[in-house]
Amino acid sequence: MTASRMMLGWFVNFMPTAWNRPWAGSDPRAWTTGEFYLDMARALERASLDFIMLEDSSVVPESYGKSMKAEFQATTKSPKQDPIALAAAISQVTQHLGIVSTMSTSLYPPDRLAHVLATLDELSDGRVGWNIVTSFEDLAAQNVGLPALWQHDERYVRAEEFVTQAEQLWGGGGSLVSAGGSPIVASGAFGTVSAPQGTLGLVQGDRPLYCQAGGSPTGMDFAAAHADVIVAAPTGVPAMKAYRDGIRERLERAGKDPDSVRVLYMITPVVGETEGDARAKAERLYAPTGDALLRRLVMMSNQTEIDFAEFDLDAPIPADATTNGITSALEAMKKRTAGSSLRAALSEGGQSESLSLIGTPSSIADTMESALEEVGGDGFLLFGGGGGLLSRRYLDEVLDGLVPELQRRGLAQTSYAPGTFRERVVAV
Amino acid sequence: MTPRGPVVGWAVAAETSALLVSEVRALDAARVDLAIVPVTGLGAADPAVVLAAVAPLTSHIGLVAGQSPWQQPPFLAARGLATLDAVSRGRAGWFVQPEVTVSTVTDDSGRWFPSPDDSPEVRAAALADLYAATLALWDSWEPDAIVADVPAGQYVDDEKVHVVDHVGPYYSTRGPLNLPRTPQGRPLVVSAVPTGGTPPVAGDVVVLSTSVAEAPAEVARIRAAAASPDTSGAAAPLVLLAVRPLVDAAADDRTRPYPTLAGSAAQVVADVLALLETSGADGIVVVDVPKGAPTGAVLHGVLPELGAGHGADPRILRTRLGLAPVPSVNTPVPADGTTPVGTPVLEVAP
Repeated sequence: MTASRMMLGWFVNFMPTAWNRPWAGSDPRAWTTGEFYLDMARALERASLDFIMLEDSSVVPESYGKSMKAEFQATTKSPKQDPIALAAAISQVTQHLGIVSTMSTSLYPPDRLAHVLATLDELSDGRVGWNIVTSFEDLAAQNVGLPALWQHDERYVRAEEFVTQAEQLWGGGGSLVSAGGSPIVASGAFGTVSAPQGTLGLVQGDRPLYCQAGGSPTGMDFAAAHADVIVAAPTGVPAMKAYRDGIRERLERAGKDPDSVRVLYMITPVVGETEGDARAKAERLYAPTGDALLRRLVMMSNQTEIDFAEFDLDAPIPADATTNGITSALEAMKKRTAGSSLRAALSEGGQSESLSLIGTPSSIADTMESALEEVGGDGFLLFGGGGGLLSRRYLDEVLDGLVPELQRRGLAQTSYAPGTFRERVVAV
Repeated sequence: MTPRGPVVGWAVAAETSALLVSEVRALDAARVDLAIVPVTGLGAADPAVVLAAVAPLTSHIGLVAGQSPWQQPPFLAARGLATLDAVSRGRAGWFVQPEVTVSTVTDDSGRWFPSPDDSPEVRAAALADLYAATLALWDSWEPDAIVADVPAGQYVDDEKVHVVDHVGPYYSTRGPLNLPRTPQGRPLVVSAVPTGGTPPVAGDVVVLSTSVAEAPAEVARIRAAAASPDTSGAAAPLVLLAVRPLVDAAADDRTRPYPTLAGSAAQVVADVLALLETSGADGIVVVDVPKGAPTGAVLHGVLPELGAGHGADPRILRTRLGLAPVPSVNTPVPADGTTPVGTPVLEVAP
């Protein structure tokens, strides 16, 4: 079944906005006050978007060139402030917008997470969501007293227990819970949580809305088991459809209604007044030179923990190169650069997005509409490219240019339905 | 320091988050210097989260979040409180409450809770370890680390960001923090002590609960302890007295660890000023005043007469309270031997 309309969210990092490119504004440090992002939340609500999703990570990477220098040029991950404070502030300057905050099951204690999300749920009157992540950086683990993170699949096993414990603290978890201020003890295979003074009930009932981005089979299993909204970036319509079908199969196998979960695809539209405008803009943004090339190298290094500064950009990666990072990623890059070069390999795509959307509001809306028709649903997660890239101009292009075009076609909502965030998502 | 009246703080009792938000806004409008929101348990809203929500709705008041050191590891606490300082443009504080256990989690990684041994000695040692880690994280970015050098394409000078590598008996954290040094250098650190008590950490503000008669000796004792060699280097804390002002209402017979000052507004003003004069304290923290009319009578009948909050700019909390800037420990000492001090990273007009 196709949903009656597309869900729209926006994924954003509490990081520097555009600072060394056009339309950067006058103060490159002003992002730290959060005012830009409060303005953004107001603008998203004016455009009737379903939700804002705040990303989180807690490291200053040193993967590229074995120092922080390149990261502090590309600002892909740092500086970044705590999204919880921003989510709390957004709750006071909006009335309807869903507010999803990312929190890691590997880095937070479950009782702290439960307390924070319960408080956000109350502050927002039932509009909070939890983007459940398990993290992957050892440096982040070392910040909170672990030598390294657990391996991928073990992180998900632990996340299961973590979610169960959080739900017990919210009062929805079953027999361990006593009403009204009695002690709670939630025991699992890995640990025990006890709360002497009971729970904080949620406006949204037994739990907040859950978001999840599961790319791997284990991640998809976890997402299908828990999430209300699943975000993903499979590239191209066939891959988008295969991903959504994979989620729906899992839901059916588990005896759940496949229409109870929404799958959203990541996109970063490049909007112009003419097709030519948009193409020229995309070329300036993505050409693999200068800033954009460094950014891609730093991001690849951060994701794979391979130091790409060691390799000649204009040659293939040597067959005998080794890494302390992810070996499979290095081997894949060797194949991609064989008979070619690292620079050429990096010029092919590299954006985290499902569809390449470069054009006018009308042509982009055409592509989004036909893609979802073919895929079956359910919506899109807008993204502005991450740290150091977002400007008010870009927000305007999408929110005052593209979104109204989607609304005119009846594809996007023009007002908010009543109810909590979770109730509204289920009713899409 | 510009002449100003006594520092006035207000202890805000646990409430629903919507009521906390409106109460702190009312205190801000009345020019109270510090809203102190203690943490009580999972059954009440988390103060740090609520105060982040209040930040864009207020302009001057210090937002002092009660947080037990045992709630989360130092990295997460340091990051959250530093962000509160950024979004409040330099008005964040941490009310350190080691006596509170919100909830506990113990797991096979052993990283969440300092020790199963909760003897006072072990808890004091764990707190000292956690506090050292927290300060090191807050100091991990030098004040001028953000350079935003457009021609060089460099947003942060990586030489001004320092890995912490704190490895203590109870806590370890690699660092650095992933966000810049805060407007205040670090959030204001506040703790509470009873008569004869010792502040749990060498912070910026001590809230003392004692009687009118004992106040002079107790204030002197706190100041002397802060100046003793084993806390060398710490700035002398502001000492504030917990008081319960009641305008036009009779005091009840209940015994409390702090004085009730009851009478007409003029009488309460005179009693507060006399208490500050004889004790030498820097100000008061209003505690246990019922909401509604009794609170209004203090906000509008007593505080204006104390001269509280007058001349209340600048908006960086430490500066407004007359506290010395926080030294940046990672900044090299200048050749002339003077002590480098941290400067606010930014002061953006609202």
